[in-house]
Amino acid sequence: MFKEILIGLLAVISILYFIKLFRESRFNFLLRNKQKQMRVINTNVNFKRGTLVKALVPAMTIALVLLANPGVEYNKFSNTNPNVKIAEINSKSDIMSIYKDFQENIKNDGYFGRGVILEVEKETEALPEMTLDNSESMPTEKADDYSETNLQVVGVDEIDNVKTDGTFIYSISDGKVVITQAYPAEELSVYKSIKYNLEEECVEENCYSEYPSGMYVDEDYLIVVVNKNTRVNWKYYEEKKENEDDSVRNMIMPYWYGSSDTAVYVYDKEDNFELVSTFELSGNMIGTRKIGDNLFIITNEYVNYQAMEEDENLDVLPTYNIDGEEYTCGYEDLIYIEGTDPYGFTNIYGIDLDKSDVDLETILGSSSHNIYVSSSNIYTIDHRYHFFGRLEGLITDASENEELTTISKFSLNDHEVELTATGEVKGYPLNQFSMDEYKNNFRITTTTGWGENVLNRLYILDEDLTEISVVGETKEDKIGKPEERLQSTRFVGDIVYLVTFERTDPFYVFDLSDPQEPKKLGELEITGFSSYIQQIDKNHVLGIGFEADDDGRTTGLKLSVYEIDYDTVDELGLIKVEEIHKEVIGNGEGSWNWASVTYNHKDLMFNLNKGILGFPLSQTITDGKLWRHQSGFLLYDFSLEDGFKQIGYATHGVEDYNDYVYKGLYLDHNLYTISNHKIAVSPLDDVENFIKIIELVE
Amino acid sequence: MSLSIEMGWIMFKLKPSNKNLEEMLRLPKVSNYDYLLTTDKDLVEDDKINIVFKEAQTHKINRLLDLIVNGEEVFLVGHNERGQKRVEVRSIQYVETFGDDVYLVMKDYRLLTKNKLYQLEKELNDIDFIRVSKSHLVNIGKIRYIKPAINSRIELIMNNDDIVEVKRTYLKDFKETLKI
Repeated sequence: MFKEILIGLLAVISILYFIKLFRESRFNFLLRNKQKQMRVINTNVNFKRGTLVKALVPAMTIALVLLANPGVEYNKFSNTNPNVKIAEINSKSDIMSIYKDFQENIKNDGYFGRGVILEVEKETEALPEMTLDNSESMPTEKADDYSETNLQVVGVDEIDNVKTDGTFIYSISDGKVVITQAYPAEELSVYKSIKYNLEEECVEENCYSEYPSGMYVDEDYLIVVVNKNTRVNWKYYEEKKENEDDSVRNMIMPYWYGSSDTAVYVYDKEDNFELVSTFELSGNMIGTRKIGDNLFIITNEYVNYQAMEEDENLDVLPTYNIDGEEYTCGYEDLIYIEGTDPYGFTNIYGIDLDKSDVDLETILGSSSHNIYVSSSNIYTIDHRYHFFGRLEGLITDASENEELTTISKFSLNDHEVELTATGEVKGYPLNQFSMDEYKNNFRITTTTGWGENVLNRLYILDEDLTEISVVGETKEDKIGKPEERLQSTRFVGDIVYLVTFERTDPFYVFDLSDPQEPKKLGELEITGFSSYIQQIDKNHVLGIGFEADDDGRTTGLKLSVYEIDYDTVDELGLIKVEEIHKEVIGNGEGSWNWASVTYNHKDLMFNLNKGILGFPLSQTITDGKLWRHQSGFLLYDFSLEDGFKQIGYATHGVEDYNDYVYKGLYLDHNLYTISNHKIAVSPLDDVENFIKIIELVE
Repeated sequence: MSLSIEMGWIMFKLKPSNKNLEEMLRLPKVSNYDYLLTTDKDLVEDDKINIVFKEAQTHKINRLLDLIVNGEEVFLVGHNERGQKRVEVRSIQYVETFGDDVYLVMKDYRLLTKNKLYQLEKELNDIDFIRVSKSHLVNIGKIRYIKPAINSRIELIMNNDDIVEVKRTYLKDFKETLKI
């Protein structure tokens, strides 16, 4: 009886299984047939490999022909990288053909192209006005010890919205550069302000305006970098249209377009801030650094292909202007990296401030928004596109490929800039701290993919930008747990600190002393994550970021000190990493905190010798009924032994989203806090008690 | 004139039948057809669209068939934290909803789109996207394998290894769609 039941059961199971198999093969047969009809090739388990190859041979041939892009010559400079192809440009027709090929590829691949672009004329020079000169003689007293901008690379100055030289504080308020005498504290007063044409001024076809984006200050000069906007004056065209001027009517496009250029004004400190030179550079500034007397400005500008196509004699090339004298870049100075977006120029300007001389190197390519500058090289990065065109579905999905980043390296010889190498890595770097140069090698961390397919990589490239090694390419040496993305990177000599995050913060320490074989030294997993990291000393690292709960939801801001004990090694061979201090500024019920320092390292004021650490902090607080906004500068007493001890929170008493404390700096023993309309000074050990507070508005 | 043809209408038949060539041209077995492909010009049929070619031109014919079948490219715009991106619908694996959010799932990333699922279903039906559950619209071209379970459940293994289930209520339509 039992036997019969068993046989019966087995028979039923076999039949069910057979039905399942039958359905499975039937379904998949139908699917293959359907997909054949849809002309889709799938790498199916049932698929006959030989057939695939046979079908692919002609397609591959077409793909190769398409990819090879005949008609463009390669190798202008000695590019040693096989992945990177350089196109030589000698004339307008060369760049037109690059543009057309790219457009064609973009169209086939389904990427976004850019719309029609109207050319606008460059602004005629309008010099900034100086106002509010309320001092007879120039103050000269200077603090012995004062804040400097928190820099990525020692000796490579970065632009900022507030600077000090120990005597003055330079800040930007309502489109003006305000020069405030800051030392001694009792004398705190506005010394001078420089006004720019913030209000839009319309002259015929164009409207102009300018806005200071940041400053540099050194012994001799105050250097103001200004963003100049030119916008099409549609009103002018509307009026013309009403007058039925056909030629003009045809010019009106449904696109709104303006151009953005960059001006550099240099003021002589010795000569009571007289304007000594003006540089006008085409393109919108995407990055800048200053090394000694040399200022480097990197800009992006769109190339108006449409206008160039319509007008045979029109050239649209990068131009610059030194004190009114104009210079234009030649076609033969242009370089193009195959596959990058040719819609614009990336200009690298090197300016000798003392000699008023400009050197310009231009690449055709405009997707660069991230730069790294060492004391001897500038690195710009670009996104490179894959092109498979219409054959996409046949071979592979273009959209399914990993992102590629091309790197261009420009050597710096005083203010002279020259492209010396190009390279390529997979993925995209997060910010300037994702890149570093050390002993001629370039190191970069990138992230690519989404969800479970996230890959974080650490590359070491040699001086020619050829890959020496990469970490994170395989499952075994994966950086971060599944789904975790890099949140911060900091290279310090032979060591790199990495933070990845999805739910918890793994903090990693890698040894790069052997570039061939980077080695993970240690790791630590804690809640939250650091979005900025800075080494305090060999064994201690400061992390600034966010606290999070176990599900990865952020619950507030967090400051951490990680201690790295290189001498204690566990059974897995990993060194000991600990979070020895932690300060959390919790959001609490219905309230939240916001600190720019989590993404802008220049807003951090940190001095270990003085034992201070501070940053601007905005808070929205509720008592359950009303919401209140406050902003101020939060200052901590900091030491490696005792960690963070709050000294105080200096607010300017403003409760307005548009007027907030955005910077703090120290001169000797006093803290200066800067908001949009006020500067206040208070003792470092009693920051909430102001010595003096002044208004910056007239 | 642009080629904007509803899918399911275009059928090709090769005459005389040649297994090797059919394989190379990726021709499914059909009884009904609009296009006749032939290497022998005497075999052309009056009521069909006839393409006469030489065997050596097979790869060109392959490309022509691609163009005829794919017709116009159709793009959808979506965005993620990196910004906006336009994708050709045939590269989408499937469309998925979470609450009110509609995602275009690509091989290794996803894009949030403003379109509603029912709109997409209507628009993409002609391009062989099929609704398999309340929250999923699948690109048939991106199914790698169909895995039926012993009960009437069916799982679709997509090209990106995601698994999408065909819900019972949508099973009938799904089977119908697979039949040419």
